[in-house]
Amino acid sequence: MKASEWVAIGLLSSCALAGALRGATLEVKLEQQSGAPLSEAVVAAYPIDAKLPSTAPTVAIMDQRDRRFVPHILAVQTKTHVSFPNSDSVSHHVYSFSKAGRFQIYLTRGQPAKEVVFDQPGVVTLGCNLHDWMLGYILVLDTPYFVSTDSAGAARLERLPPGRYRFEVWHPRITDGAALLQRELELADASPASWTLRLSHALLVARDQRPGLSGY
Amino acid sequence: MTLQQRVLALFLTLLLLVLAITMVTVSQATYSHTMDRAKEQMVYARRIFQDKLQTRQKALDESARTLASEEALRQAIFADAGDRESILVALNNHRHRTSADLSFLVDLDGTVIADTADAKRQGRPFPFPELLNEEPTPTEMHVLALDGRAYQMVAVPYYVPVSAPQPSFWLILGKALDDGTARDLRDLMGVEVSVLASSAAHPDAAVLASSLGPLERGALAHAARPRGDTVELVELVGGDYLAATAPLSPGPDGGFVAVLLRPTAAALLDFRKLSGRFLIIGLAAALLAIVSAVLFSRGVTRPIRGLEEAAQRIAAGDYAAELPLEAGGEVGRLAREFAAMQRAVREREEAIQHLAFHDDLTGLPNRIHFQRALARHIELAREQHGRLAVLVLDLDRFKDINDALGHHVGDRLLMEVAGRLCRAAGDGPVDVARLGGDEFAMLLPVRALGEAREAVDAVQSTVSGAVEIEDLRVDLQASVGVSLYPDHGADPATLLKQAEVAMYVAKGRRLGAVFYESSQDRHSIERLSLVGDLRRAVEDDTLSLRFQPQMELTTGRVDAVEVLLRWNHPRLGEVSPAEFIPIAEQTGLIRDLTAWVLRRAVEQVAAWHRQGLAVVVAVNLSALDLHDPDLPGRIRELLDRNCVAAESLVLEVTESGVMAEPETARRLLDELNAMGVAISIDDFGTGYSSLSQLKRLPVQELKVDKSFVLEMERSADVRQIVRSTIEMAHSLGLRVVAEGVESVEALESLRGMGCDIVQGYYLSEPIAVAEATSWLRAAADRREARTLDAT
Repeated sequence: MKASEWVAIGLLSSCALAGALRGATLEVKLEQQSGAPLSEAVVAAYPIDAKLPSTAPTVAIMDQRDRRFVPHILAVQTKTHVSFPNSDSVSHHVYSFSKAGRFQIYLTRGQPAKEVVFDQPGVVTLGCNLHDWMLGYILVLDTPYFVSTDSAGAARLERLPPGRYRFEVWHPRITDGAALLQRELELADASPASWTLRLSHALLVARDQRPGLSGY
Repeated sequence: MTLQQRVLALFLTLLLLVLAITMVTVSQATYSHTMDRAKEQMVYARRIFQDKLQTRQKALDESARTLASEEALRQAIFADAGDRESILVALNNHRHRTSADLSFLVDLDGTVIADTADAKRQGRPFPFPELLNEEPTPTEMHVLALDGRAYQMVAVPYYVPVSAPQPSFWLILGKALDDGTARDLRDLMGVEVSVLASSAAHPDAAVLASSLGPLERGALAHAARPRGDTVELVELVGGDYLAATAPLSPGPDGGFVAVLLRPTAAALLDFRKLSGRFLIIGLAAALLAIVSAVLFSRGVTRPIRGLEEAAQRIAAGDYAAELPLEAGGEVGRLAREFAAMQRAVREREEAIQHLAFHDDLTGLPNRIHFQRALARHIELAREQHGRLAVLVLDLDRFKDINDALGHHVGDRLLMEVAGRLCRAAGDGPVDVARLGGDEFAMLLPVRALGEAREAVDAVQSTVSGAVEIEDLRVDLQASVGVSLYPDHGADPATLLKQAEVAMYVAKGRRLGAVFYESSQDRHSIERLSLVGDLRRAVEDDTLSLRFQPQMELTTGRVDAVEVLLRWNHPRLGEVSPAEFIPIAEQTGLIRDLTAWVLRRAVEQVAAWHRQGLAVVVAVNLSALDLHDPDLPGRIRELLDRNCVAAESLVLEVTESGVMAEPETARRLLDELNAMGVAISIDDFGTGYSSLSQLKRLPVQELKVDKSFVLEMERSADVRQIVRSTIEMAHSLGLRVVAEGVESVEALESLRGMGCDIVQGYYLSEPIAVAEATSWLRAAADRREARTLDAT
């Protein structure tokens, strides 16, 4: 399953709750300092004046496959139940020391998936105590409006109720501050707004610690 | 200032100056070198210090990284139930192993999760957020103060999971930089180490750690610190320090620095030691310099002082003075020159002394020497109550011998006498001297008058006796005068004069030896005063002439007179020529005397000629006159002036006078003869000449000495001698004059012998001018009468 599909699910559910499939649209284009597109970044929208719609708890999946977290970055709304299945033939010991959600779970081979509920917004960094190179993120957001950039660095937030929003961009390797990554925009129904963001700082280096790459 | 002192002073001044300059220069150079070295050492010390701290920093960093990779801590974090218990245990375990003093686990947002040192800080923000750098440099120094203590700190990001681009935690380790550390570093580097925190707000720095004592530590807080890399002098309570600062890490307002201090005294310890040693060397050198200067200056001046002393001794008459001949160089040469000079002076003085005190001819001591010896003997005799006999000897007729036989014979004679006197003296304590001329003196220590007489007789008999010189046999007789100490006098001059007086008496009376008597004094005084009186007599024209007529036997004519000199002394009356002529000869007065007589005689002849009396005058010449080459010229002039023909003058010379130096005499007589002056040999028969010798002389007349004529009447032998003399004279073509004819018998006898002319009392005694004039006139008248009778 692709990240866009998950966004679609989120959006669908939001639309369903709002009862209106039509709405405002924001087109986001994210470029790295070098000008290359940045994929997998999460764009979240927070309505400033309007209240967030109440939503029923949803479910998301953070799979372990080929000794990786899949997806690498998972954005969820608070109180989402995230399921940790184990698709590998080896066991995993998934943990997080992040404030947004501290936990550790043992995913023994062949056992059913385990669920963790994240009710604190924030970044949850996932690791595996058995496979130290495994790294994953769960971005817990206090909003139902969010989408990830595609391989072209583009993202499209659709069917938002018109109004004023604070948009935030997040990616674990971005080092730029909030001034660049946050923006307030007034969205109307008809015309889609666009936000092209180019990072002014280099990304953090990907510290890929897989065996064969770093000597583990 | 003496030469030695000058040399010494110069030497010492130079040496000490050089020494002082050397000392000061070396001392300064050593000091600055030592200071430079000390400063360099401070720079080294700072480098070591920084290196040491960096090593600690690196070790701390490694320790932290080790901790970050340790399973134990991660397990503790997994196991943490929220009470941090397991995390603290893990941190403490690690801290103990690595001997860190602080260890923190800090959340990514800067909140302290675990603090092993102080639990109160847990849950609060980490106090040094600036330390939390995701890419720390392992060697970057981080010194920070926590609760008033300094720590080296290191923070490493703790990646959980390791692949995360951002760390999940910070691991922080700290190592105290306390007094113990400072002391360890001091022990390692030899410099005092202090860690200070300064702030812009507070003028005084906070001393966080130090190896110094509390007092210095307090002073250091507000002491000036060297800026930058410089090493400077800083004064603290205890004294001076060399100071260097090492920046540790910048703080919010000022930061942390380490101050390294080294007591100047310690830094200069080597210099002090060196200075002390150098001072000792300097003093030793100065001492050596002084000693060598003294030795050198003494070496230079000692020979000079030696010369100086020698010169003083030589000046005092000590010629045995030792000279520093062994000295080298100029002084040695000077000393040798000095020695040569000393020898020359001594030799000359000896020669002078010998000349001064000895007679040149005989080598005997002279009068001065004798008088000195006499004085010494008198002194000796006075002490021993002894008696001395002073003898003065004078050779009889020495002058005649000298005149007749020449000075070389006389000299030989004197030398013979000297030899005989020395033999007579023998080895005894007898002093012999030549007083002058033919006068000798002897000094005999005697006990009694009788012994003196015997001794005098012995001396006289030794001296007397014939001497053979150049085939001539000369009989020596000496007249001796003797005076006795203490009988006659007590001082050398008196004794010598008295002996001389006695000698004159002996000579005058032909007594051989005469002992002095006080009555003899008058005679001697008279004799001495005669010389002056005679000179005055010549000058004052108080002499007078007498004339004794001579008669030609064949014709009975009296047309010649012998001129005789008379001296009527104002006090003594008539003085015989036999007395004053020798005096005149000895004093050189004879020349004036002869001139006077000649002048008066020629004037008288001229006067008589004017009166019509044709008279020839015979004038006596002294033997000395024969040595006067001017005499013929003067006579010529005299005759011309008075218009008197030379034929009116006959000059009588004694036989001995001619014979003394026959050649000289003959040349002079030849000259006179050529003028027309006739020469007569006076006193013929008393000398030693023979007629054959006379033959070679330009002589026209011969006068037989009156002693023969007087003796003739009593002795047939003498009569025969006279006859032979007359005959021989005639055979040589000489006319013969007989003197001392006092009787008619004698006259007749002489006439019978064929004698040409007679002179004597029978005819007339020597008579004054007026008398002579009338006598001559009468004689002329008688002859005229006889002639008239005859006709």
